[in-house]
Amino acid sequence: MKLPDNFTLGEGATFQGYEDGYHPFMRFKTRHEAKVGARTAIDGAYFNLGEAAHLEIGDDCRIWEAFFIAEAGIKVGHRVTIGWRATIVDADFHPVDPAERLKDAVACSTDPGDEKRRPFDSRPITIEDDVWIGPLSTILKGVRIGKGARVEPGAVVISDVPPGARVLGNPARVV
Amino acid sequence: MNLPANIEVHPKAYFYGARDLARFRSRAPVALKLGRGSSIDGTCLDVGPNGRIVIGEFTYVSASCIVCDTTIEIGDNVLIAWNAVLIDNYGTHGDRRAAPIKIATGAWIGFEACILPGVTVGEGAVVSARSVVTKDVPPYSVVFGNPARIVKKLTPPA
Repeated sequence: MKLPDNFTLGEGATFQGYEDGYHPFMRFKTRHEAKVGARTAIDGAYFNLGEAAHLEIGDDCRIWEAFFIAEAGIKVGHRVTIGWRATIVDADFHPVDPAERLKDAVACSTDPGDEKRRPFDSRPITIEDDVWIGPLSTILKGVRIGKGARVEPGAVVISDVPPGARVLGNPARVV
Repeated sequence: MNLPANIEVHPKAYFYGARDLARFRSRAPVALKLGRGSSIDGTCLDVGPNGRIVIGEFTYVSASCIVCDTTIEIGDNVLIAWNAVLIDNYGTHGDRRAAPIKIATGAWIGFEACILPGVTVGEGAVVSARSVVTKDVPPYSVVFGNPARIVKKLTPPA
């Protein structure tokens, strides 16, 4: 698969993309360079990056079929494991305020008239070194996952995870 | 794409994905109604013989899953994110639940959220991503978690 020019792989890194579901770069719109570190192995991934989004993945990571969806930015440290179908999303994509949201829905529709898209909240996500993110888990906006933490399968992480902690559940709690 | 005769799509609406209809078996006179400016984008529509889905105007249903044996009513200006599940029936013979679902005007269903039988999501309410909604969501509130709980109240539009 041909990678976008601003998606760079470090030395010894591998990228395997699959086109049977979503094309991995169908919504790769960032103007910035998206960097993947040395010896990182990505086996299936989907990148939905807005124009201003930053993406940085460190060295020696292992990633399977993860979804990276960003408007602000996602930073992944070194030696991070991201499990099958984990979703990392740093934005809301629609305003929370009901009045604004009614107008945003019209702007998104097939008959928008003069309505324009409304601003929404997005905050960057940081995943520090040696973190383990389980399959089917979800990391939401503004979260920082501390060094060596473990996110159990299916967890929905909405707040910061302290270094070395283990979190579980929806919403995720430290156990 | 040839749609079954009991699907009504407004000329200014959008319906994408033939695969959506593999499990569409409804014989209701109007089994699916899609209003002006609304879109259905790659959603699995598993609709039983008597199932009916009514979708208002300017509503966006992205790649989700709707399982319907009774009636699912979706209002105007509703946003439904990817992989959301709306299921109005489940269970087998002795233990079966089937009750209509209603999503009111201006509601927003986050990605991978699940709405269970009999639930009404009130006007302007927000169901956060990955929530599992087991009971009614009051208007202008935000729910989150499994099972979903109210975490916030919003200001209704003036």
